[in-house]
Amino acid sequence: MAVKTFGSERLTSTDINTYLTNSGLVYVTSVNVGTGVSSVTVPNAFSATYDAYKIIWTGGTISSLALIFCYMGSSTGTAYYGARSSGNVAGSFVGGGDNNTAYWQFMTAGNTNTAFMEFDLFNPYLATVTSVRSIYSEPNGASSAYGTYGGYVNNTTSYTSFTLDPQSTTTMTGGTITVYGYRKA
Amino acid sequence: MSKPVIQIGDEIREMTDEEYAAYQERLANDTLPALIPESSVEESAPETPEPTE
Repeated sequence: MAVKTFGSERLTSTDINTYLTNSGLVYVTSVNVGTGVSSVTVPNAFSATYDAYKIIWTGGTISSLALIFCYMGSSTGTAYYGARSSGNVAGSFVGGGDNNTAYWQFMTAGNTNTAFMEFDLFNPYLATVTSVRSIYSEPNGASSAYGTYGGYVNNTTSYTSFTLDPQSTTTMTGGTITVYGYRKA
Repeated sequence: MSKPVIQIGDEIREMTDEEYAAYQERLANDTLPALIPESSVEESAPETPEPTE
């Protein structure tokens, strides 16, 4: 659908609904994270409306310095692959990989003062491989590291939800997880 | 002993027995080392020295 150039002073409701409210990145759903939850599943996140999604969690913390895992659906699985590429504040490379694991382990990290996530999911609803690309953030003083993570889960499952689940017994508190869809033509 | 709570959408609830068993198994099989915290506390400003006679 081409972008429309408006030549009239009057905008119809149809044009407004089609062109002005349906922007490139479209809000889909959000979840307010509770207090001390072991994991958060975001339901009804994916549908046939979009093939690519951006997920952002901001305003929250986790109960200890830890990685924040992610898996598709509401339970862990198999055949998760991915690699983290990051540099620490000393200028050294810090890697990490998921080789046929039960979930993506190295997408990002957080601590008791700050935790956030920003990642894109590709084709989660389609019956094909789901891929991920994430910002890696590890706030850890002199050992802080920042970079990116890319991965996929090797199945053809159609997913409608995903779960964030900090490492070990770490819990999540607060903030909002928001799902946006990349609008298709 | 209460089980950990999970959140699905707006619902926050305690794990079921099955979920808790799977959670315990995952913890037992988790070989990924924990991140090692570094001190991130800023050094406090030096105290103003007492004036000398």
